[in-house]
Amino acid sequence: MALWMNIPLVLILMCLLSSAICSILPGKAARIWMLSAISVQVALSLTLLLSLISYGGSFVYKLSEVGAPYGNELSASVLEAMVGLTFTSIMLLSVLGGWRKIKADVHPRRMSLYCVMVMLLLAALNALTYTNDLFTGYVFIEIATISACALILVNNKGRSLFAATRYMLMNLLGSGLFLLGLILLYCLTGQLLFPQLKQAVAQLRGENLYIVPLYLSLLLMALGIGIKSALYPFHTWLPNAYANATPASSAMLSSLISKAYIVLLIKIVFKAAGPDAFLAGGVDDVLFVFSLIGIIMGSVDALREHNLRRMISYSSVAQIGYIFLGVSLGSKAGAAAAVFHIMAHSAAKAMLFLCSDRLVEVSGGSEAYRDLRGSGFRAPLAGLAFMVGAFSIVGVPFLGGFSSKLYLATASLSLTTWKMLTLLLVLAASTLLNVMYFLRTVLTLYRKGERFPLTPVDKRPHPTFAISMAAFIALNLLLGVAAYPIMTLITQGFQMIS
Amino acid sequence: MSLLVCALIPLLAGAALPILRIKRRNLRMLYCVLATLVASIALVSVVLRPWSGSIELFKLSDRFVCELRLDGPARLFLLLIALLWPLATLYATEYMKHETREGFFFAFYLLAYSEAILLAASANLFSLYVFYELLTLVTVPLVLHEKDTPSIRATRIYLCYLFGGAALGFVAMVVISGFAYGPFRLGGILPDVVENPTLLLWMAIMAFWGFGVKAAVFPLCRWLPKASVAPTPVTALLHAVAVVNAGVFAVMRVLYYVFGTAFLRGTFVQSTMLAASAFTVVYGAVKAVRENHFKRRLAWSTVSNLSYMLFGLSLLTPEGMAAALLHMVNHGLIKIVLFFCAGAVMIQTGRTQIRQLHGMARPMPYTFAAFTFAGLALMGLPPLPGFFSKYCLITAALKTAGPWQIAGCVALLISAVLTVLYIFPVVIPAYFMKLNAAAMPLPRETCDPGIPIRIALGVICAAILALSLFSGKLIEVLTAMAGA
Amino acid sequence: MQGQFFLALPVVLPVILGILQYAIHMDERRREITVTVSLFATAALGAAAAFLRNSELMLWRLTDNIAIELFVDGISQVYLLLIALVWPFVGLYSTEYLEFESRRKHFFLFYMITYGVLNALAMSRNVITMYMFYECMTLCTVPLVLFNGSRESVAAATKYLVYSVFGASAALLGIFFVGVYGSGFRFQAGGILDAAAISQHEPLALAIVFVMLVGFGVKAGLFPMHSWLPTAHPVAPAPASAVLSGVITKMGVLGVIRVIYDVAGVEFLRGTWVQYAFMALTLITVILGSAMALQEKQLKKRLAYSTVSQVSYVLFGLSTMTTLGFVGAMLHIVFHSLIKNTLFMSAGSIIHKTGLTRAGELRGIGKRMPATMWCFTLVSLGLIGIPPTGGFISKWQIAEGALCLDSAANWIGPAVLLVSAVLTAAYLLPVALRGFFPGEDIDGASLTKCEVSWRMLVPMVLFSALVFLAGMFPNGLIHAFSEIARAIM
Repeated sequence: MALWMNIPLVLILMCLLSSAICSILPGKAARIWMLSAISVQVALSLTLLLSLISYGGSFVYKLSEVGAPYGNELSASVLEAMVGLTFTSIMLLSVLGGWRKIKADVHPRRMSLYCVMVMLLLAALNALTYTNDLFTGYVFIEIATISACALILVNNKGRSLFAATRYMLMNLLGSGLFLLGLILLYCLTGQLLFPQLKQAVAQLRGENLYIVPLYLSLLLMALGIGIKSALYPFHTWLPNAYANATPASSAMLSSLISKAYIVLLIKIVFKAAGPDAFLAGGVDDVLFVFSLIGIIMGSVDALREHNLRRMISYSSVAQIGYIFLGVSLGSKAGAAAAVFHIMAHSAAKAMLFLCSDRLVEVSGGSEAYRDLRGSGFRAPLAGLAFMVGAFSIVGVPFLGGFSSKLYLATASLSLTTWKMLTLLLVLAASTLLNVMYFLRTVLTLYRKGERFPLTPVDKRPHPTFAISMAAFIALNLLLGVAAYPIMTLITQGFQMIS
Repeated sequence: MSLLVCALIPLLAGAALPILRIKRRNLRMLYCVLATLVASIALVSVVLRPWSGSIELFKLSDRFVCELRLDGPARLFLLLIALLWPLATLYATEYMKHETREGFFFAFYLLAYSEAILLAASANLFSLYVFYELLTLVTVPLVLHEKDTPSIRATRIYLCYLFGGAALGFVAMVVISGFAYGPFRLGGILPDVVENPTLLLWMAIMAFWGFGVKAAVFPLCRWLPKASVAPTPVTALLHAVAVVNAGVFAVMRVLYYVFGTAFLRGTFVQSTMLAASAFTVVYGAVKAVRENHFKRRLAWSTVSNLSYMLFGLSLLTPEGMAAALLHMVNHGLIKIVLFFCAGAVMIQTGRTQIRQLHGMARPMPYTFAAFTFAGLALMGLPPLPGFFSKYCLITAALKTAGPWQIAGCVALLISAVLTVLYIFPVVIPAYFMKLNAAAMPLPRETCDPGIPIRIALGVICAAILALSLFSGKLIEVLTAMAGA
Repeated sequence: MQGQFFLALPVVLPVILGILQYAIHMDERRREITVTVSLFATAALGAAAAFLRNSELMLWRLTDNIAIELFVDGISQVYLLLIALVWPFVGLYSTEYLEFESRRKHFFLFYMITYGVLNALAMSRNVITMYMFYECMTLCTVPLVLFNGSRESVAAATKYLVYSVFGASAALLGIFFVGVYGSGFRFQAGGILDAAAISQHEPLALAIVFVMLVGFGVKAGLFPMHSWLPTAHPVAPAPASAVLSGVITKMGVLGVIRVIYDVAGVEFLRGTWVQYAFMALTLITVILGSAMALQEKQLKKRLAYSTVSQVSYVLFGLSTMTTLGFVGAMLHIVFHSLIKNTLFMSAGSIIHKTGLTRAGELRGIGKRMPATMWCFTLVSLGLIGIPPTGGFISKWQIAEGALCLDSAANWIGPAVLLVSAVLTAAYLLPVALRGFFPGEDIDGASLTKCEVSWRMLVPMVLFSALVFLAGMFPNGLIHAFSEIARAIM
């Protein structure tokens, strides 16, 4: 075994270790530790990805020699490495972009705690990405939930307690459903490791035994994850949670946590249950319907909103719909599109949350549209970044959102005519709705007429913010123009894992 | 590669403009005019050289490759914009004196040039779509330029219509890619036997309306008059020539180069397209007659005239395509003059309503002479070019002589009458009625615009005249291009 | 450019001279002389061109079959000569009529440009050229109607413009049709429609020919598109009304002649529904125009309605598609042109001197302006068709042409003409009678004499005399027109 194959485990352990270290460090040091730890993570993930590309296959990393049905395993292929790299680098950029704001929002005494939670979250993200067994998955789902909750709470803003409570309740419900599904599946097959599970499920289906409970378990897991990642109509916790956290947290919550759950779902579908079981059980149809409704309704909700950050939050609901739509197609192309959309959306949404905060800041702290008039001129970089993010989500060519939309649409071509047309028309309608709410906001940013005199603020952004924004913009462009190699890698990854 | 350079010149020049921060206005204007001029000269030299290669910009998957090529219609479109863009920029240098934040404006004006070049040179449906959307985006700041409530409202409508159309186009593009993909080919890229022709036909309808939004086909035409809140150089060049013709151009690509006429001819798609475009021809003209705002009237006239071209394309014959392309050129030149005049009147005297133009020909003789000339050309007085394109359209339609084709001819004639009705109530009172100087005092005795605008007007009028003399040659070339 | 360069002269010269007199600053007296001299010079050129029979000139070739070209055939000759006779004299009249108008150089400008355009129209060799100059004619005469610049004149001019353009567009459809189903665009006796090509589409071809006829009929005041005439005439200055009625309407007739004889061909149309429908329209117009004229109080408007009616005599003559009918129509073109010019000029003289516009106000006017009213009365007789005036000859020929037909039209037509003649007498003669015999209650002595000067009298007297002379010695004209008819049928 080559040295680099230890990287997945190193990533997880390093996060856990860092969180322990952060808890004993004073606030400032903890923050710097956190930042450097995440940077190292990015470097490691990149190394893993490059090594895997040259290795040209996937590998399984056994944590213990207990063997099936127990035991814990990690596995990595190009797909996982790609997702992992995305998660770590978005995390890095989010922390970087919200750096100044973290200092302002988080009480110095809780700074260490915040860093602990961020590192825990990253551990959970890595684990969810690289896990090769259901149990590890479940454990880290819970860790992610707890740390996310703490991230919401740490910002001592009026409604954050309420939001965090609601978040906790909904997420526990989701975890509960997932756990139920997991137990059911374990009872049926007696396996927890993905490859063995797949064999067992295939056997059950071959013998036509316990079909209904089998499908039910899949459905429960899918729904559990759906609730946790705010699939419409289980999204009610989301806007408050995202809108009230500190920007860096919002960015992480929206673009990382919910996505990590979905990555797990994709792995369950393709590695554990097998797409055939997924399709035969009708889980795909359930997800299909939910996601279509979500795509439309999320946008409609966003259209009604007059608060910038809540609007962006609602837009996430619609975007989650896109990702689930990709998963629900049950094909590798669909799932690949979903993974690509995870990347594209993370890049855009995290940036939107970060720069919206800057825009709010130069507009006297108000998040209402009418107060944001002209803020694009007061904060040029943030305005530009917002524009790029908005365009990406709308699906303007040369940006990530366009590529992912195109992949999703292409994946739909293998469906039956009516299903395909429905999907495409919903995509078209959602594009139009996106245009209506996002570009309305962009227009507002560049519109004359502040409502009241503003105290002049420094026009130049904080250097960390500027670096982060520049990187985000570059990332979005990269996903738009160089999508072909990325997509090729993802497709290769899917070949490897199934 | 040199084609890409042509597109990059205005792109970089435009992007550099806000960074350079040229302080002196004259210098800044010189920079803009020179940039467009250089780009145009480069473009003309590229276009006139035989070159049949292709440039791949990027690719998203095997189906979706962004690629540039040059063929007949692309060369024609490029020549048209290469002629008009420097002149419009020249016009804008004087016009924008009266507006604020012109640096921003010129930056996007240059960017739009590069997008238009790329759009014209697109080699397949995907690249066409990509640049179609980008052109929309780049022009948004130009529509928004005033940043007051009407322009915000107009921009919102602009965005909704154009992106809505693009969304339809997106669906059509994806579905078509399921059947066939690859560079445009005259006669279509579809395989001989198609599995599900009904689906494809519906996609043709979608593509027609999706890409036809830019060509303002009914019922998606309201954005165009609204967008006339933009500064006149934008309305004149983009919303009478570049952007709207891009719509026509895209429809042509879809009908003739993707589906192929053989696949669509005689289907319900054709009759629907014919009916829609014939209706728009009349509808736009009627709206123009009823409109009292000078620029909006011209914009409605554009709606009507664009559907002339769509009608020609919907005939699905080589003659129809040639006639549509001819009208594209003719109408582009004519309409830009009309808008330039409207804009000149606006900046010199602040008059925007038709009623306020009584007697204006006396203080502005050059402007109104140009307006009258272009108006006559639009109306179709032989041998001016408007007549000839109408001639080609109608003869092309009569050759097939189906019921919808004949209805279209009648619509074209009705619109010809209406053209007189919306042009001459501007011209006649301008020459023959008393100037109302009491209500709106004129700044000077003679208010003709300055040298740059006059040069722009003069050159384009001369071009119209030349076109009228040589449209016979042109139509031969175009018909050969359309594969007759 | 190839062919007889001379043909371009009567087209280009008046345009240039008109622009020169507009552009060069000169005192009013000199302007009058300039205008008069230029008009007569042009008339001489036009008349000379008329005798260059069968000469031709290619101005510009757009494509293989679309070209701007001129030629002189029989019909062109008639028109060239007629215009050469009428136009300069009415111009002479206008120099005095517009004496006190400050903007009369505008009038002269467009008057002279129109002259050039009319010459070109008369000499057009193909439908495209004709359409082009037809539109130009409309556009150049609009300013003549607009001369006052008042609100109602703008409205009237717009109406005129719209009607004319509508008519021209309808004709345009036919032109395009010819482009597809014809063998070229050049006029040719017997028609240019390609028989093989239209055999599939005969109903369509007929419908399109009908549309063309109606389209050109608009300019000739054909029902139902006649109402621009009574609107445009009262607001236009008298010389403009005179030529509008006397000449411009005839250009519509020229279009109809070309369509029937040189585009569609008599053979193609004879006996079809198009012939009868067109004939019915002309007859309706004949009656309707007269009836409307009868109940109209304003003199110029009454004359305008009279034009509506009388020009349809011509159209009716053409619609019979017989030699006699054609000859009658051509005669009526000439006579009606002279007569209506004179009538309008006399009405104008009255307005010029007294400002009276309503027919009822003209009692005793014969005492005040005897020469004017004599001309008015004499040409009225001509219009009614009382021998030995020209009007009689032409109407007679038209009626005879109608009698040659072998359908119900052979008695309906003449009957309608007769009724209309009675109505004509009823709307014209009372004006003349009351003018000379105002009745007991008007004191003859109180009527002061206010005759117009020679410049206005000469044209009126000349035209009235010509109506009579030609009526008494019509053989030359009849012979010439029969020649033309033979050539084109």
